Amino acid sequence: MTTTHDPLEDRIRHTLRTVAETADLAPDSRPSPARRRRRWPFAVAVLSIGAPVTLAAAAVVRQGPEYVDAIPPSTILVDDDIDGDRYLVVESRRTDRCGEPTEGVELLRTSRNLIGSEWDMVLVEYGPYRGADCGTDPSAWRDDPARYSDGGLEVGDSFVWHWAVHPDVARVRLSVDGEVVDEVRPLAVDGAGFAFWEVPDGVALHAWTTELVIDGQVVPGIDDDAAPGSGER
Amino acid sequence: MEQIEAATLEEVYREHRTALLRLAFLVGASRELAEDVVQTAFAEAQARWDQVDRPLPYLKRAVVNRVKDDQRRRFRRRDRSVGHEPGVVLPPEVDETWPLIAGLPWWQRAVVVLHYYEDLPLAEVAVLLGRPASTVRSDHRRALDRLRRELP
Repeated sequence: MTTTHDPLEDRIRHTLRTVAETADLAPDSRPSPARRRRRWPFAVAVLSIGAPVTLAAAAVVRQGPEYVDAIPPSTILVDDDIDGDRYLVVESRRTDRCGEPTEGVELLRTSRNLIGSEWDMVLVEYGPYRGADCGTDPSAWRDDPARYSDGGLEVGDSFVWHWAVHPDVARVRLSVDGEVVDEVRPLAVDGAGFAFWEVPDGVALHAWTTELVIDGQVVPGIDDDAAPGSGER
Repeated sequence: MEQIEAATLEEVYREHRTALLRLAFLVGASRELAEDVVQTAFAEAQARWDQVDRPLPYLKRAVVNRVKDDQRRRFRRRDRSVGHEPGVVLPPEVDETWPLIAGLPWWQRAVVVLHYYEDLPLAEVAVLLGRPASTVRSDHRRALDRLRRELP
């Protein structure tokens, strides 16, 4: 046990030890020998839920934030495929180079992200970048709900297009030649909205117009090319 | 061979489960969540057990990261309803220091718990949390400053 001459540090140690040893965690939850044996099938069940993602893997080769590891199933927001090419939208769990957690979501193809390989994904964040690899500043767009950023990832024979929008945006409306072809509902993550759309056959890239439905009103979106809210990483 | 590996895993489970539950609780898990994260950490370790050289540090890292993920999810999914979770009863000898530690920003709380409860040097805390060492040192300093300011 480490001791110091700083009364505060000693007090912290004492408090943590006391809480850990006296909180009623273990007595209520400690399984009897019979219960303990039953827990293993449960553990396997948890694993089987995670397996479709973790087993997009060949083997654990390298570990670290830059390499693919298991994706917790609870962070997966979208799990779909185009022509059998599976893609996921997951909550971002990274730390940027400024040491802060990234806010937003990641779009990735499982076939390009085998465990142990380097991540190959699109990080989608809302707001203009603060600086090199230092995340975005969502507050800069808070007063202008029409602003958005977008981009795409090639999946199968098509693209999955993504938008990062203001939290008040209820739907992203997509029109081609003046006709509405689809509306997608953003997912609420980190105080912003993130919408995804599989570009249909026959629709050329950038052939659509993006409008935003906010408080029941259709608002022309302002694409913020100068301050992208997403970028290939 | 499989039976030997399973027994080893179960041995670690029996020996360290309570300690991992306590760690999960100290870094912010409710009792229910602590149970879940420890179970899940073992379940995932089971799949790669033969590749895990040092099971306990591996499991600690898994537990802390899972609690962190849960904390972030609660904050992030605004529409997520948080159900009532049974509280943990603490004895009277736990003074006002604990609520202040529990009220620290999550990264600072994790650094404090790992450094003072797990007795890990700050450099190892940084590795376990996947954060730059300088950031962890800063979190540590800020946590102590805040506790020093707020404690009577």
